[in-house]
Amino acid sequence: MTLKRPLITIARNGVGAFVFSCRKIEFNYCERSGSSRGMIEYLQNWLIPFARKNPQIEVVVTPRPSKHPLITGTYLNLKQKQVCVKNKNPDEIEEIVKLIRDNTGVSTKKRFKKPVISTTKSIRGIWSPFHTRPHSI
Amino acid sequence: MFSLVKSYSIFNRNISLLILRHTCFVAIRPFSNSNTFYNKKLEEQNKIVRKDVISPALNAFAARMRLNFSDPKILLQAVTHKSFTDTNLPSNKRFKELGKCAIQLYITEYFHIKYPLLHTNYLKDVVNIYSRDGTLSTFGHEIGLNYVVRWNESTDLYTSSTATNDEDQLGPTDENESPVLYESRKTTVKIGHVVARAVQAIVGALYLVKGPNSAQKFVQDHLLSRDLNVQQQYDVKEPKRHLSALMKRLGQEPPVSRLLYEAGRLTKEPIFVIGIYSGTKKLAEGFGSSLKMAEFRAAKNALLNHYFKEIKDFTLPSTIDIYQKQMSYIPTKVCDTPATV
Repeated sequence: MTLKRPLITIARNGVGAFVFSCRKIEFNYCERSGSSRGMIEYLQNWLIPFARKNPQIEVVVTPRPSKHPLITGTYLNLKQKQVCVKNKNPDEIEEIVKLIRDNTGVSTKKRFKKPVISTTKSIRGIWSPFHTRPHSI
Repeated sequence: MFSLVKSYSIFNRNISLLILRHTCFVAIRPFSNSNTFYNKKLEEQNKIVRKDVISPALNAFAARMRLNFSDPKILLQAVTHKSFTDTNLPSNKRFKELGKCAIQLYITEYFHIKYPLLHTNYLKDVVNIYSRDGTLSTFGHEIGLNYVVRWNESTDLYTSSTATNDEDQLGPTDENESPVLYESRKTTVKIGHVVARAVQAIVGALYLVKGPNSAQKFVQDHLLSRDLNVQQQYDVKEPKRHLSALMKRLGQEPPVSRLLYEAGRLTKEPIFVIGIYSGTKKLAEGFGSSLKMAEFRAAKNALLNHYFKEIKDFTLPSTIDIYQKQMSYIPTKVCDTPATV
């Protein structure tokens, strides 16, 4: 007799409403270092329109002296993705920011053994040896 | 929204000023890497004490869940737990009471119409699973509500809503008089309850401010879209007996089981597939390693097919707009109660 597991509901993001996965993006830069030059230009000119277009993301700007510039994305599954943008141009940084925004926190190293996950196993039914060869006299 | 960190550096690139000029709302967080006396003094001077300010996280949360309240204080009130005293706003208690009932209503209504022939106990179980604190707290964590709720961890006693909806509530229950009070040292448990209440409060606030339809949409989109295998719960000890009673109740021919396919009868691992028929109509099939087992499963499947019948297209009574005269409400057929043995 199998034990009864307590039943829980599983979230299906997108079925009813879509909840955006990227919660917060933090920008670190250094005032003095040369590697932050592109980052500083990005923060001055490109960041505010980006934040306006994406009100669902909390944008944090923090100076981090004597360190390379860093972009950290925090996601709803508690994972983080960090990209160092040292010596990059503002347009390159914009692409990276878009990448971080469009991502979920799922690890990129994980191989997808099952690319499609679904509650309905198959439309046409699962094969059974008893229903394939109808008996004929 | 933005959160700016103040920099005390000499080389001012005017980033802070630029951002301050452009954004409508900025939360200033002091950056203190060094512990110099000068910096500390500056911090104290520049410390701005603001109460009831919407944090950037809360703004982002509202945009993520598409809650646009006309008055931003309402959302702030909805996420304020009663333990949070550093505020001029009332707590989310009133919103939570209304939201709790609204959630219960919309979930019950949905499953009542979706599974018209379901036994009441199972209906209650399903509704309970969707609307209990655990599910709401999980949902709240998944949308990032735990970073946004305003609460105070220092109070030790948190009322739990383990007094289930099935049990009779003795009169009007006041939270102070509730017999179920427990201490928990784990933050995760405490914040779970806070988050669950916040979810209920948000639904309540939506109901009050934006109307019942808005609240119903929220519940349907976020809570009812969650997946649950309802049929897994069905537990019946004597399915053949129940099926006989059901056929009698429906006025159909008594069920007869017939062996459809078999393989390996005399081996270690036989398979039998038995179909249960009412007259010439096959009710269900079941497989098993013995004839009895297959018959049991067939009867159980027949009962599942009947009682857990789903209706796919229906209109919920709560979504009907009273002023829309063109739309005529077509009620779903009121169905029979389960057959008793």
